[in-house]
Amino acid sequence: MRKDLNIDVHHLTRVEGHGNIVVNMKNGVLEKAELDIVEAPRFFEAMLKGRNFMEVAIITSRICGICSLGHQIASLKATEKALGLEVSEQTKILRRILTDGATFQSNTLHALFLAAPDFLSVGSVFPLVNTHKDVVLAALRLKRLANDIGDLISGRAIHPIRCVPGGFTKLPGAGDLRTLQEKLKTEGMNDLRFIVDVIASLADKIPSFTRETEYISLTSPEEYAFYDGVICSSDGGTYPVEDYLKVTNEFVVSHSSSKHARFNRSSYMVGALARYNNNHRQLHPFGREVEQKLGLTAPCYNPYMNTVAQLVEVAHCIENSIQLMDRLLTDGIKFEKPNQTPSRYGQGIAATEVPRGILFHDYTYNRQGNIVAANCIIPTGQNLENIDDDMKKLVPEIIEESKEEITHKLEMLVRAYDPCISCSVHMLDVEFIEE
Amino acid sequence: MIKIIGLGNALRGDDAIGPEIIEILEAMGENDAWQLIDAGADAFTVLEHLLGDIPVLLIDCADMKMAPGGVKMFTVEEASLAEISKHVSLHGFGFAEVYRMARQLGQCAPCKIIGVQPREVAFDRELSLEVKKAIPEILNLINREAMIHEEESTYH
Repeated sequence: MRKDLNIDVHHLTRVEGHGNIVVNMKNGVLEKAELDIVEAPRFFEAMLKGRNFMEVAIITSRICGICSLGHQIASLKATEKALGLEVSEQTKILRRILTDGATFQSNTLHALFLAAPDFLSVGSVFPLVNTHKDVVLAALRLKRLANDIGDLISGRAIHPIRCVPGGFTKLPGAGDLRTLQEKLKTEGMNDLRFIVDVIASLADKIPSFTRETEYISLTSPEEYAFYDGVICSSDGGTYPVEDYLKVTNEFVVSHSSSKHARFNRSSYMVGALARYNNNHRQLHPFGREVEQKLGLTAPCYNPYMNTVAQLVEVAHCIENSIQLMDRLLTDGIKFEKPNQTPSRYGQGIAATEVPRGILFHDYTYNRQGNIVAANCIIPTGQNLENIDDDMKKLVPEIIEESKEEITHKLEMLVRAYDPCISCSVHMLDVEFIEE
Repeated sequence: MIKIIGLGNALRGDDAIGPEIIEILEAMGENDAWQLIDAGADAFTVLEHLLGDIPVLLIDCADMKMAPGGVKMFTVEEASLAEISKHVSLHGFGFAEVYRMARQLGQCAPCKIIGVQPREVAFDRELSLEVKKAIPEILNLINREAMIHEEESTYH
């Protein structure tokens, strides 16, 4: 049996999103198995201090290029709670459709462009473009559909402009909504079925590792919760969103500049698999169809299956947005002025499910409508301790495999969580070619 | 018609130049010569535009080893764009990766980049004075490109 092992995957991610996998086994004793986060903290909360409630969601939507919508929705809900701004049912439906679009976009891209190359043992998505061009194009069409939802309802595919405190500044036309709904029913559902067939053929490439942990997500009696609900733990119990600090229990570790979190156990998991484990009974029929095709059953304790749960959610979200559009079209889209007259000032806490898990925004406003305190807890931070715990169980189980294979499986594990280590700048690094 | 795409994080100092230019052009009112897209920090959004027929003009903060505020327009063929390999999240895709993917997928719209050399890229910073001063030059380049494409579509 192997006694010593040293793995040090430096800069697992991109330039400013520094995450390293460090494993150290000596004389058969695992001394270290962890994901080191060496990214500098960005202190978004400090940036929000003193900002007026009308600009807060605009700023927070820029926290992340991929989850801009999720941050904006969580931010708007926190502000509305703090200022006592009631929003209409129509606003909630429109926000739910936006959330569905953002979720199925991000989940599709993660499953196809980041996880699938691992299943095929190719280094990146680029070889897939040559070997599975039709699948890549189908994924891009789904992304386009999600962007169409953003364009139509929020005015922009990225960084929405029409979602404001209290409602929407402009509403979509019924004709445009009907056209988009038709595209989801035909193009969207067909493309996903095609993608699912391909992923199903790769199912045996997913490592069979399991570790039961605590799964935390929103839950709601009305729906598979993304937009709203209460906090649910798979270990039992539901908790008001206002009690989020009792659940997250953030703590500092020496190997990470990002705080870790734990609740009833040493760690917990958030994200698609957590949502699926807690809420799978509320999946729509299309979600069930994909769940069966991909062989996912609840409860699932294999973190690598997070990618599969993401695809199940893609199906659910497409069908959910179609149903919500039906409701809007049946009731008729009514002109509404956003409710922006505060009835109180104080603290507002909100949670929403973004692709990578439950997201909390907590603001306190003064009587001028400016922020005096803010706290944002993102999903990746909540998953970090769980990733470390996964590694500690996984490494001894695969210790007899080659170092390359162990490294590959550890990288796959981290990728399964799709961590958002840094939503960093995309500055071009250019070198001009001399003739 | 040309698509003008601003790429960058509006909260990160000079990285905001792409979105800033889009905002300035939007404030000027509708213009049939161009379509404006604020892609934020999501380079992936550029991909679907590269896969179309309409020429793309990308405005982005770029390390070109020039003095801060330096502006240069170039085609991708004229430059070597560093790719960020081993990305672990969707955030890891930069324009270089996206352009490579568009080329691999086949059709790729003509694309030029207006690179702007930053002074500082850091959270909670405004545009530097040097980059602010470069805005008129950037707008002139955009106007010139838009006119060229307008003339081309008139003659075709």
